[in-house]
Amino acid sequence: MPETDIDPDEDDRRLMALVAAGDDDALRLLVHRHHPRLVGYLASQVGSQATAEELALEVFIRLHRAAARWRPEAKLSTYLFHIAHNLLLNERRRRARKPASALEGAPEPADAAPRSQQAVAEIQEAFRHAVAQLPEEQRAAIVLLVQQDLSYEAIAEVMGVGVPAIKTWIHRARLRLRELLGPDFRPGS
Amino acid sequence: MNEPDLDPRFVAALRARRSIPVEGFADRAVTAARRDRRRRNVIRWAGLAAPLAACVALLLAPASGPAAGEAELEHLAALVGELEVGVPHLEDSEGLARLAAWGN
Repeated sequence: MPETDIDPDEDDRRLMALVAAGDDDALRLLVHRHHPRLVGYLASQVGSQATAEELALEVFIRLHRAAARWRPEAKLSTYLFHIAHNLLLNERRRRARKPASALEGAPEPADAAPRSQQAVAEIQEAFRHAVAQLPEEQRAAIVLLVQQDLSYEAIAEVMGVGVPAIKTWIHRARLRLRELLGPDFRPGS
Repeated sequence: MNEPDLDPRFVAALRARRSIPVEGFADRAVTAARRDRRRRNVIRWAGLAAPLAACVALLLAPASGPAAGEAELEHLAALVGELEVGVPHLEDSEGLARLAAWGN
C-alpha cells in the first residue's frame, strides 16, 4: 500500500500503542511527525524558538509518560496542543513571579538582510508585536485558528473550554488586532 | 479556516511560522524521554526498597537477639543504599530477585 493511503490519525494511534509498549523508535517517528507544528505554535506564543523547543521537548516527555493511559478519543495533534497549552499556562504562572520573563522576551536577533527583506521583516515584526499584545487566551485561540488551522471544536478541546468562549476570544482578538495594526494593515490596503 | 477580516499579509506572516522543523529534535526528545523513564524507575524502586528492607529486618531481628538484630539492620541499611544506586540498570524482575535473595 502506498504511503499516501495511510491515514495519519490511524498511524498515530498505532504508533502510540507501540510507544506504550516501550518502543522508542515509534516515539521517534511521532516526534518527527509532530514537532514542527508544535514548535511553530509554541514559538508564536513565547516569541523565542529556543524556549519553544524546550517546551516542545517537555510536551513529548509528557506524551511518553502518558502513552499507556492515552485513549484515542481525539486526534493526537489536538492532544499534543492541549499538553502544550497547559505547559504554557504553568510556565507563565511560574515566570510571572520573576521580573524578567523569557515569555515576554526580546525577539530573536535577525540576520543581516537586504533592504527589501528588511522592510518585510519590519512588517512581520509589527505583526509579531501585535500578537504578543493580545491577552494570552485570545493569542492562543487566534494562533490555533489562523496558523494551525484547528477547528473551533478542536481549539475548545486544546484550551479546555466551550466553543462559545473560543468564538468570543477570537472575535475580540480580531478586533484588537485591527486596532493594534492600524489603518495600514486593514484588508485590501 | 481564515478569518475574512484579518489582513492577508498578517495571516501569511502567521502561517509562515506554522511549521518549524528542528534538525535532530526527534533524537533529543527520545533521549530526554529515556532519561525521564530511568529517573521514574529509580524513584519507584527507592520507594519500594526501604519498606521491604524494614519488613525483612522485622522478620530476622527477633530470631537473632538484640545485638545480632542491630548488626543485621546495619547490613540491610547498606544494602538499601546499594539498591538505590543500582536500580537504574535493573529490570523489574531482576530487582525483585535481588530483594528476595536478601531475605535468605
